[in-house]
Amino acid sequence: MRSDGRKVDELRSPLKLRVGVLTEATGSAYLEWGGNRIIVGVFGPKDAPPHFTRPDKATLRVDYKMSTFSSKEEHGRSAPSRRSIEISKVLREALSKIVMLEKYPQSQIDIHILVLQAEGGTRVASFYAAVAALIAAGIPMRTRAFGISAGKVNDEIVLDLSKEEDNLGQADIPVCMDMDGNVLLFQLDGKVKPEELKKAFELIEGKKEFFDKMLREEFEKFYSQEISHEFRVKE
Amino acid sequence: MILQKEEILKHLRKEGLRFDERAPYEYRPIKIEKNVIETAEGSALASIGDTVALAGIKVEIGDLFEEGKANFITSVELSPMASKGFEPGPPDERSIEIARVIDRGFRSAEVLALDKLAFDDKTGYTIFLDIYILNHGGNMLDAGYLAGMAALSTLKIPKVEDETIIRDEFLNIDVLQNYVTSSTFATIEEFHLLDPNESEEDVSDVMLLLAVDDEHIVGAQKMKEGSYTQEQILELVDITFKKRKDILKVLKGDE
Amino acid sequence: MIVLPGDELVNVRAPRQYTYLKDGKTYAAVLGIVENGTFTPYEFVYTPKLGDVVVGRVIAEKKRVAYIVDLGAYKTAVIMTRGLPVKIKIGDVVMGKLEQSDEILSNIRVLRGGALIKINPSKIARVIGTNGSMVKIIKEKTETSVYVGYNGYIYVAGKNVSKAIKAIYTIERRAHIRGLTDFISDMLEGEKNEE
Repeated sequence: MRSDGRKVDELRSPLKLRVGVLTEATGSAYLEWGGNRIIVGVFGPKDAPPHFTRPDKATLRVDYKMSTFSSKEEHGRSAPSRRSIEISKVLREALSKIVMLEKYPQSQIDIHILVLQAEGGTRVASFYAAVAALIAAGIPMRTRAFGISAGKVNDEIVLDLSKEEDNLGQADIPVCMDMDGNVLLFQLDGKVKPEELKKAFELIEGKKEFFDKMLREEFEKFYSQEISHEFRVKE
Repeated sequence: MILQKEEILKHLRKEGLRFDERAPYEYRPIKIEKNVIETAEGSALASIGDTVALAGIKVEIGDLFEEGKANFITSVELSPMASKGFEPGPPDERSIEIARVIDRGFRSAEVLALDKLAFDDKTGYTIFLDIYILNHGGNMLDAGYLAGMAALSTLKIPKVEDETIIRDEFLNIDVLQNYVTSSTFATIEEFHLLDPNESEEDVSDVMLLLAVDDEHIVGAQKMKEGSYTQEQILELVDITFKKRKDILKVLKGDE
Repeated sequence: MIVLPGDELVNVRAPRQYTYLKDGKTYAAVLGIVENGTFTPYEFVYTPKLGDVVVGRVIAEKKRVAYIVDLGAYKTAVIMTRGLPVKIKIGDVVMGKLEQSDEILSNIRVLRGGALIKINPSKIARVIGTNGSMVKIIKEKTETSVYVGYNGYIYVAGKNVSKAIKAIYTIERRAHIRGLTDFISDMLEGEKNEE
């Protein structure tokens, strides 16, 4: 039994997605997942400066940042930390696989991620919010994708670690996966046996319909109602 | 909407209204949500029309810059998602100007009882007020001021034991002493437009920010390369005081 | 029916730009809807297409040889100075056709006296309406000239510019709701009666 009473593959709540929350960004999304609150704004494709362009595909830029008040503990720093820089890189690499960069050669696509409030698993949550924002921007993609942090707690593989589980657990495994089960982002902190990793992948892939459904439902809403770009935290 | 200066003026001279049908001294809809970030010791989201600002406060302890007064540091980030023109990176002159203007206003009006938050002459609390502009639709200054003021009104001070902060327990003291309201004007020839949208800001000759409390002017910043006559400034001071009541209603509303 | 990237399109007409082929099957590459056997993509950033009539803003000049025009697209367009019958300067709003290529703008008209707005290019068809029926209603009821670019830029000049703009933004927000033409007609009629 997990410390917060969740089942092995149960995700934290709330888990809510909203798209089209900003007016200036080409596409945007706001995600609440457990204690995480993340906002993403996407720009592009747009003209890229000459030193930056590639002749055959668009250049993707990801800038992941945490707000200075995202931690319950200390005041964070405004300049990107080493952690943020690494996360920006792995997220960019993960998203580059599913965005069809070849459709817009010599252009640039910017993805700006701001974690307003954090409670563990921010990189995988940011990935999912970025996927939603990219879809909302009408940027061509091969398919949808999502991310979950699996972990090992008390010798058991579980999904979506809480902050406590992350601190006391034996392993943290963030994974981003597309709807075909391909792994786009994969990191490991701690130690696991190969069969435990296999179990983690199985549990993670088991959630793909859930995340797909959430995307689909939000976009149905996005399309059917009068679109109002309004950013509110409480509903 | 991109408007050329001649069109804005023509419309104003003919109809007396702006392109979005506002009167010259009319605000766009103002909305405030308080306590929106649970990890912060105070927070608020404010929007004026499409411009959205999020303010969060973190409290730390340490050495004081000024004897017997808690440290109060305001910073502003123009998030790159807020506008095509914002790039990630260190603060530029725009965000620094906004941060310093807002900081001065809160300090001059003594919004926080900083002396109550010092332990002694040399050590005490540090209040970090950080404002993120999430969407730029013009007038980031007033949106930032509103978000900051609303966040300050939600501020809870964590207890300190053995020189460590205990994040979940709070002091039972009143640190909020005053409310600041601000008004920003963009002037295009003979027209002063309150709460300018981005287009109006772009074509304006000169801009003025005024911040007030109930009786005093607590902040002023003339912006852009034009000039004002002294009479014009005093007229806008008058308008700023007149507008205070409506703004306070929204500020104090979401309780 | 909503379509997301990666959804298979079976017996559906779709512009190639917004789809891809894999193992002989066609998949949508962008968000969109399928109605009556046609896939309409939710295009936000305009892709310049040969033959399109567009509205843009002159943002730069290149060594007196050409002017650079912003179309809100992923690349800019140019106006060649040679043989240009009108005088243009930076900041001007122009209307033209991408006749020679998807980057060269010709048949230039300079637009003055109004306001330039930008909407989602995939909603332009709604703003124009069947046989121009929607834009006609807007022009008549607000006594304006409305210049619609397929790139999503629209220039409005005339009597009640702000009312026309409000109607256009309303069309953009409610593009998928039924009875839109009547709704806009009523909305503009109501505003007219308020004067």
